[in-house]
Formats: sequence, C-alpha cells, structure tokens
Amino acid sequence: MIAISDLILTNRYTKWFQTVLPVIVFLSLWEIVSRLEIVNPRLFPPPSLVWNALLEWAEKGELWRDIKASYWRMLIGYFIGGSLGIVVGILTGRSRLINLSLSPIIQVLRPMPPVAIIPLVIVWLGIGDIAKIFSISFAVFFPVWINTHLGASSVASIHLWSAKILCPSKIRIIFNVLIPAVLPSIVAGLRTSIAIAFIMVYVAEIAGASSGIGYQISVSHLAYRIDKMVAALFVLAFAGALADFLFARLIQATFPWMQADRNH
Amino acid sequence: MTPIIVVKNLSVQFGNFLALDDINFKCYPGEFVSIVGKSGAGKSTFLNAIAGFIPYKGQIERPRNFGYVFQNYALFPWMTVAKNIEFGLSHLDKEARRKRVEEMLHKIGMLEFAKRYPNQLSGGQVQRVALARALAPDPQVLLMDEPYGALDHHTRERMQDWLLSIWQYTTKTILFVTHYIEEAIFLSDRIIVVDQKKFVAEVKVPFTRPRDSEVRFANELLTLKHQILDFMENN
Repeated sequence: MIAISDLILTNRYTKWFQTVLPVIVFLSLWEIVSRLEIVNPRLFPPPSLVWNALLEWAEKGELWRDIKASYWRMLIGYFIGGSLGIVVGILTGRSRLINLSLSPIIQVLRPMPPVAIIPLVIVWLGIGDIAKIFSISFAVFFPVWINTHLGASSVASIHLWSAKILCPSKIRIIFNVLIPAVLPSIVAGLRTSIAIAFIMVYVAEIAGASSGIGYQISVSHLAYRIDKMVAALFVLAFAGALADFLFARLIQATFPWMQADRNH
Repeated sequence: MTPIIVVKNLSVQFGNFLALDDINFKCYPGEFVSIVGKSGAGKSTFLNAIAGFIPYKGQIERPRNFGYVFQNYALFPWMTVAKNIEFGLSHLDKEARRKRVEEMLHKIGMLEFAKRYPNQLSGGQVQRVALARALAPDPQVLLMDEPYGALDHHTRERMQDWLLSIWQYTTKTILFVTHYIEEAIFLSDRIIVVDQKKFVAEVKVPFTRPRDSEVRFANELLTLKHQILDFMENN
C-alpha cells in the first residue's frame, strides 16, 4: 500500500509546488472575492491593485528609500539594545553583587510594554531618528538581557571547572568558555528581538516620521489609500521574515556546533 | 616511596548536609586506585574536593599539575576535537601545540576526527577525546569521575581495555570513581569502598599487569566482587 507520506514531498519540484500552491490559491480567492464585490473592494482591494500600488511606490524610488530608512533605524537600535543586553546579562548572570543591585530595576521595567514609552520618548527626544533608535534599543534590550542572564547563570559548572584546570588565564576562560557557553541563550534572545525590533520600528514611525515603511502606512491611512497600506504591510512582513531568515542562516554558518547535541 | 596524594581528616559539608566525614587517604605515584560505592555515597565529592572545586575542611596535598575527566559535559561543544585538546596547552608555542595535539589524536586513533565537533561523535569517541584533552598537558595525576558511566556495556568494556593500554605506557597516577565493581577490579591496583560518607574498606587487587579481557571471567574477580558488595551492604 502507498503511504500518504510517499505521495507528498516526493521530490524538490513537488515540494516547491506545495509551498507555492497555497499562496496562489489564497491570492486568487482574494482577487475573485474582491473583483466580484462579495466584499467592498474599496476596503479590501484585490491583490492586483495592491501590486500596482507597490509598483507605483517603487517607481519613484521611494520604496527603496523607505525600506532603507526603516532597516537602518532598526539595525542601529537592535545593535545598541542587543549589545547592552548581552553585556548586562553576562554581568548580572555571573556576579551576585551586580545581580542584586541591577536586577530589581530591570525586572520592574521589563513587564512594561515598550510601545507605551513612545509618547514619553517623543516628549524627551523629539520625533527624530534618535528617539526611534532609543525606543527600539529599549525594547530589544529586555529579551536579550533576560535570555543572556538565564544562560550565564546556568553555565554547567563542569565546563568552568574543566577550563580552570586546563587554562590559567581568566580572560581566555571568559572568551573561550564562558561566552560560548552562554551563546545559545544569547542567540535565542537576539532572535526573539528581531520581531520586537520590527514592531517598534513600525510603531515609532507611525508616531511621527518623514520616511520609512511605518510612515508610508500612516500616510496612506490619512489618504485612504488602502491598496498602498496593504502593500506597505506586506513589505514590512517580508522585511521581518527576511531578517529572521538571514539571522538563522548566519548563526548556522558561524556556529555549526549550535545544533541539537547528540551526547549531552 | 613518598605518596603523591595525601588526604588528612577531610570533611565536606553542603549547608546542613555532611557529604564526607573525616576521610584519610594516601596514594602513591603510578598507582591506579578506584573508589566504589553506591550513588550518593560521596565518591564524586571526594574527587571534587581533591581537585579543589568545592570547599572542604581538612588537609589535601596533591600535585598542582593534574587532569580531570568527567562523565557528562566532558568536552566543550563549541570547540572542535583538536581545539578541545589544544585548550590545555597554552603554555606551549603554536608549533609545539600542533604537534602535541597530533600526537594525542594519533594515540587515541582519531586523527581524522580533528575537525569534528563533539556533537558529531559517538559517546565512546567523546570520552576518548576527553582523556586525550586531560592527558595532553602531561599531568602527574588523573582524576576520573565515572567517565564510562553513560556508555553501553560493550563500549564501556572496550574503553576499559583501551584505558589500560594507554595507562601502561605512562607513569600517571589515576583516581577512578565508578559504581561498577567489575570495572574497578579490572582496572585498579587498589579499591576503596565508600559508604555513608566514610571510607569503609580497602581491597588490593591480586591480578598482575598487563591485564587482558580474560580477567573479566576469572573466578577471583567474582570472589572479590562478593567481598566488596559485602562491605557495601553490611556497613
């Protein structure tokens, strides 16, 4: 008897087909439903119109400019928040004294929804890039910190003991043993933060900006250009998915040992 | 002969829990001593105290230069096999390090695995590399904490044969913790039985060296096993 699993994913082409087919079906249904005016096409523009809006956006070179603006803010904010999260996480995870003095403050700030600080940040720093980068850094810091902190405080003592016997240099132990041991936790925190950084860049841009994908959504909203709003949403979603994909690939290539261990 | 390890009135306490109580122990250069006992008897605590990993009361004298082989987390998963072995050789220059790593890899028969990561090796291979890493800086004493406890029966016996074949050509002193009594008898010159936080008995192993696998089926081994089990049960 042929098992169902033999029928699906039999080769590369069918696999590709099975990934793409649901997308085609979804887009076609959406097109038909909108064209036949089963739903109001002004509120739910068909994908063909969304595509046109995207082309129009791209034609003037604005699409590229907006993507660059959003990515740029996100990357700087992500880098600052992520680096601080890693450094502070290792310090609070490894030093009892630092943990006792810093953790209560961080723990109080952590449950706060980071989007809630945006109005205050605008009052403090205005609506320029600094304010946006600050908001993104703020939001990225916490997941990176908590993951790094937990990873650093639970490094297997056996690794540190082995290192102490084999190597007299504390600096080498920190860089060659402690940090690599915490690395899987750091990576987990950084990956969670990608999505958070995209949320923040979007929210910060609709709160006041003159470029960026979030800004386009906000402007299109005012102009009642729903086709362009949907197009911008897709661009944002795609940019986020791409960043996540590239991050996963980069980690895989840089740290090949970071796959499920067979032995321990 | 002067002993290489001397332990006097050693006690270890974790909070309110007394893990080792007034232990006295000596061990001589080149000796292979096993420490056997039930789980939680204090075997590993004894090794950890000797290594200086945990706080203790009493006196311990041991050479500064020693190696340690653990049961789990034996290797750094983020380093290749070669890098793991090289980690303990920072006192040598680059060329000397490369040579030493190659020599150790050759000794454990794993030259072609130099660039593999620990998660690409079998359990037995991981333990072979762990021994190579511990031996690479040429320590006088080797502490081994149930190194083969996680391996299957067949692999364990092959690792024991292999350990003896390597040990024969060195003058290392080995302290070997295990809960497999046959393993202790097959490997050691002397066996210490730990029970209830104390050393309750000491047994000399009568077999000559080099030993071959036949020893595992000798009647004397069974007699000795009975004797050791009695010490553990009747204490």
